[in-house]
Amino acid sequence: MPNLQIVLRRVNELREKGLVEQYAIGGAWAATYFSEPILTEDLDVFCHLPSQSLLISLSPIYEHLKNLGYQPADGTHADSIQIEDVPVQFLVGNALIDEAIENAVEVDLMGERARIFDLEYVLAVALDVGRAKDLSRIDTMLQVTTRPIDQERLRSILVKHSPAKPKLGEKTLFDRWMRLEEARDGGH
Amino acid sequence: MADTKQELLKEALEAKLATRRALAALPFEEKIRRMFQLQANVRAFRNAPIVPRKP
Repeated sequence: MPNLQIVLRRVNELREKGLVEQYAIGGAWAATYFSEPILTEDLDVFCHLPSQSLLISLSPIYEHLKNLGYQPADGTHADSIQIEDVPVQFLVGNALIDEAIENAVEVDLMGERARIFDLEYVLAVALDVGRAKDLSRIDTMLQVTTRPIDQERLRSILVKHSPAKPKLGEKTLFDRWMRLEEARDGGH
Repeated sequence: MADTKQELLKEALEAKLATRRALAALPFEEKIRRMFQLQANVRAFRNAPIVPRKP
């Protein structure tokens, strides 16, 4: 297994060096924290970039890591950088992601501090991204979680990030969640 | 003791769910280790030849 302590140390160093203002791990790693082990190929690190940045650019992060000797990942992970054999992808997101970063939980992994999206945000972001694998992760988390899902908190997040006047034919996050719940109820 | 197909199926699903809950209850480090094992299994399958390699 790769040395995760070093991977997380490199991520935490980005904050210490001012290259990111705040970060949180999302995707399958966060889903795994709250549920059973979920297959993934890379580590998704969502970032708040320093507010003085005029352009949203992740280049300084990748440059810093390249200077430490890490190389871009190859093949299907070409948009990631390989840190200690783990393809790590740095991402910036929308208002929902920003809120998920702000409300992340702090966990300890092999003696290194890591910030991870909280459960309700893992679900909301997966619903927002909406690929087949994200919906599959939602299904997994609805069946098995380490703590109960705070339904009130989840709905409040979904409503907050659903536009009051969606475009014609657009399904808001809340609509999508209601449809998903209906489909699950119908299947049981 | 389960008798009907429905009862047997229910028992099997409950056992599967119990296994999954036990996996979820593992420490995060152990879950990550198993996640890497899943990756290795997928990679091994992806790289395996369809027919046996020539000796």
